[in-house]
Amino acid sequence: MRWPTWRRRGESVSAAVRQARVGYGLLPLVAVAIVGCEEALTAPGACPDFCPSVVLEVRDTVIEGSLERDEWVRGYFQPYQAAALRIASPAAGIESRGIIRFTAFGEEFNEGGELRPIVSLDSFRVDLGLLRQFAGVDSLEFAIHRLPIDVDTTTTFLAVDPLFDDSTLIGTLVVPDSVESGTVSLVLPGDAFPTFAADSQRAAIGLAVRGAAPAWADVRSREGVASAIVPASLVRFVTIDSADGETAERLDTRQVGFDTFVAPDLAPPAPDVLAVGGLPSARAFLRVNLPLGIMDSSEVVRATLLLVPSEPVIGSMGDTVKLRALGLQADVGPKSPFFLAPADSVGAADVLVGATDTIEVDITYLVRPWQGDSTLARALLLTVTPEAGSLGEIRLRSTRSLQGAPAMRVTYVPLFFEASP
Amino acid sequence: MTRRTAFLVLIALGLLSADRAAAQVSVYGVLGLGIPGRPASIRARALGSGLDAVDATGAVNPAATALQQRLAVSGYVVTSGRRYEAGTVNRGDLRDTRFPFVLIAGPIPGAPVAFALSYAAYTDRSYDLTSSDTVTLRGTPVTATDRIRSDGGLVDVRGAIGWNVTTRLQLGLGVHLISGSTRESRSRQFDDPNYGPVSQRGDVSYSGWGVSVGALLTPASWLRLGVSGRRDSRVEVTGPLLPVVETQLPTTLTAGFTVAPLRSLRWSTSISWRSWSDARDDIPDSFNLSVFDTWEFGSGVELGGPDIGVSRIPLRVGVRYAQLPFSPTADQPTEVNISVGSGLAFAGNRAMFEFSVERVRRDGGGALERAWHILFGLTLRP
Repeated sequence: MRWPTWRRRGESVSAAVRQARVGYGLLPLVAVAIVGCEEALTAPGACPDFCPSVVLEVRDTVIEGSLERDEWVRGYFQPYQAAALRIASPAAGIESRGIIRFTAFGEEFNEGGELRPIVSLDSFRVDLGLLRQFAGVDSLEFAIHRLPIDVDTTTTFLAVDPLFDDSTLIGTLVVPDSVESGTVSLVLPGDAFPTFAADSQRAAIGLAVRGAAPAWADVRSREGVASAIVPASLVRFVTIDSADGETAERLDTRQVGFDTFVAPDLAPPAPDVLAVGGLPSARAFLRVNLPLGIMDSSEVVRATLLLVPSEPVIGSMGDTVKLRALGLQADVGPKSPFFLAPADSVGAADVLVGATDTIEVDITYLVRPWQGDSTLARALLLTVTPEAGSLGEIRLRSTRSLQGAPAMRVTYVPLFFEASP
Repeated sequence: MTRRTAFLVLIALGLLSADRAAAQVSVYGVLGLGIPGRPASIRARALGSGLDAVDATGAVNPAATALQQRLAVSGYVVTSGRRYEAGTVNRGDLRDTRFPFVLIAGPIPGAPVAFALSYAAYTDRSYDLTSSDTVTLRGTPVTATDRIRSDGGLVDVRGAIGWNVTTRLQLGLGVHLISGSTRESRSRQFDDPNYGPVSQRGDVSYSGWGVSVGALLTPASWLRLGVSGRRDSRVEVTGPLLPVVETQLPTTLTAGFTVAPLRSLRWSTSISWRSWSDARDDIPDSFNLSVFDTWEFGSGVELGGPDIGVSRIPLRVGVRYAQLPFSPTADQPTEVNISVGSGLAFAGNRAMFEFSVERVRRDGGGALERAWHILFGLTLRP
C-alpha cells in the first residue's frame, strides 16, 4: 500500500495549491474552536448509585487533655483606663462607685479673650454620658457626692467609701428607665463645693447608685471611644462684672481630668482556678495540644472550647460578660502579643452573671489557621471585653482541676483521597 | 522542514499539548476505574471501531504497525455534548473536550519492520458532581452541599514493533505502560456558618504495564484478517495518604477483518472481549459496584478516500455496540454508537484533516446517557 498523490489526474498544480490553502485556512479555525471550547461538567450527582463510593466523613469528638500549661495573670487594664465607669448598687452583687475629677476653672471669667472678675458663683451643672443602665429598676438614682480633689489612680474603695455619706451628698439625679442612653444632667447649688476656691477652682465628685433594688449603670469615661455620648463635664454658672460696669450671667465648662471607678477587692481565686476579667483585668493563657491525627490529617470544621466555671460568674446582676478567645502571635508568656479577632462576635461567648453552666467558646477561626501554618503559636488567651470596664470576672477550672478541666470539642473531616476503584 | 510543515507541526502541537488526555466524560466514569477509552484512530472511530483489528494508525493490533510506509504523526480531539438521566437527576447541556489519542509511527529504514509510539486513553474518571444532604452535627441537623470532582484517568502509552514477515503476513509486539493520574477534590459547604467549609484535593496516580501481540494476514488482495491479544498487569493506585491499592486490569482479545469488494469500498468489522471481571476480587465489599466482562462489536464502511487512492475525500459510516464493565446494579450497561466521518487531504499529501460525528447512547445500571461526539483529527507526514 502506498501513500497516494491526491492531486487528481488532469488537475493543475495551482488547483492543488489552492486546495492546500483551503486546508491551511481551516486548521487555525478548528484549533481555536476546539481549544477554546468551554467545559460544562458540573452536574447533580445521582447518589448513591452514580457517586463515588466513599464520601466525606464528618466526625465529632470531645478531647479532654487537649489544653495544657494554663496560667492566668492580673493587671492588664485598670479601671481608670476603661471606656466606661461601672456604678452599681450594693444589691447588684458587687457595689462600685464612680470618681470624677474635673479640670480647673479660672479665677476670672474669660470673656472673649478678656479676663473679667467673677462677682458671684451661682450654680453648677453636672452632665453625665449614660451608656446604658440595668433595665430591672423603674428609675435609677445617682447619688452625687463631693470628693476631695486628691483622688487619683491609687484611690481604693475602702479609702473612698467613708466619703459617701449624707454630709457629702450634693444631689440626686433620677434617670427614668425610659432613658437607655444619652446625656443626663443635674444642677447643683453654687455652694455644692465649699472648698472650690481653696482647691484652686477645682472639683471632684463621686457617683453611687442608690436604692435597695439591684441596679447599675455605665457612664462614659474620658477613655471611651468617640461617639454621640460624650464624657462627663461640669458647667459653672457665674455672674461677672462686664466691661460697661454692669453685671452679666455667664457659664463655662470643664471636662474630666481624671475618672475611675472602684469596687471592693474580691477574694483571690483558688490555686487550681483561672481568673479572667475583673479589676484590674486578668487574662488566662492556654496551650492547645490536639492530636496529630486531627491537626495534620484532617480539616477542622468547628472547634469549641469547653470551660467550666469554678463558681458563679461574678459581676453585676443581670449583666453579661463577654468572654473572648484570642490567638497568640507568639507564646512568650503573659506579655504575648495576640491577634485581633476578625469581628467582635468571633471567638466570643456572652456569659450571664451568676451562671455556672459550661461555657462554650467557638475557636474555629483559630484552629483552622493552625492547621495550615505550623509556625503559628498553638496557644490562646482568654479575656473579657471591655477589659476592666465592668465588674465581670469569670473563674474557670484549670487543667490542674480534678474535675471540669478545660477541653475542646472538635468537629472534623479526615483527609481523604479516593484511591480504591 | 519547510515552512508549511513547520506550520502544520505547530498547529498539531497546539492541538495535542492540552492536559486533558483522556476518554470522554460520562456518568459511567464515576464507577470503578472509569469508562474505558478507545485506542482507535479517528478513521477507525468513524468506522465504528470496525477497523481496530487491522488499523495501522490505531493502537490495538501491533502487527498493523508493519503497514506503515511513511513516518506519520496523528491525533485528534473530541468535543462532546451530553445529557443523562439517573434516578431523579435529569441533566443536559454538559460539555467537555478531550484529546484521547496521539500516534507517531513509521518504517525503520533498511529493515522489514516499522515502529509506533502511541498515547491513548485507557479509562476516564472525570466527573464534577454536586449533591446536598442533611447531616446531624452536635445533635442539630445541618444542610451540607458537597462537590466531588475528579479530572483525569488512566492512559496507555504503547511502543510497538511490526514485522513484515511476508507481504501477506505481519506480526507485531507491543509493550504498554499504563500510567496517568486523577486530580481528586472533595468540598463541602455547611449552611450553618458555625461550621467551616471543607476542601480537600490530591492527586491519585496509577501505574501498570501490559504486553500485546498480534498478527495480520492478507490471503487475498480484497481481504485482510487481523487478530491480537493483550495482557495487562495489576494497576497500582496510589494516593498521598492511602496505602497502595492494586487492581487487576483486563485481558483483551480482538479479531477483525477488512473486505474490499470494490476498489472504492471497504467494509471493516472487529470484535473484542475484555476480562474486566478479573478486578472483581480487588473491589471492597463496601463498594456498591458490579464488574462485568465486556464484548465490543464494531463495523463500518468506507467509500473512497486517499488510502484507496480513488478520491481525496472519503466517506465513512460505522456502528458500534459495546458493553461497559462497571455498574452500580446487576444490570450491565451498554453503549451504542453511530458514526459518520470524512476528511480532506492537502499540502501535497503531507497532511490530512479528518473529522467524525458520533451519536452515542449509553443505557443500563439505572442511567441513560445520550451524547454527541465531534472529532477533529490531523495527520502529518513530514
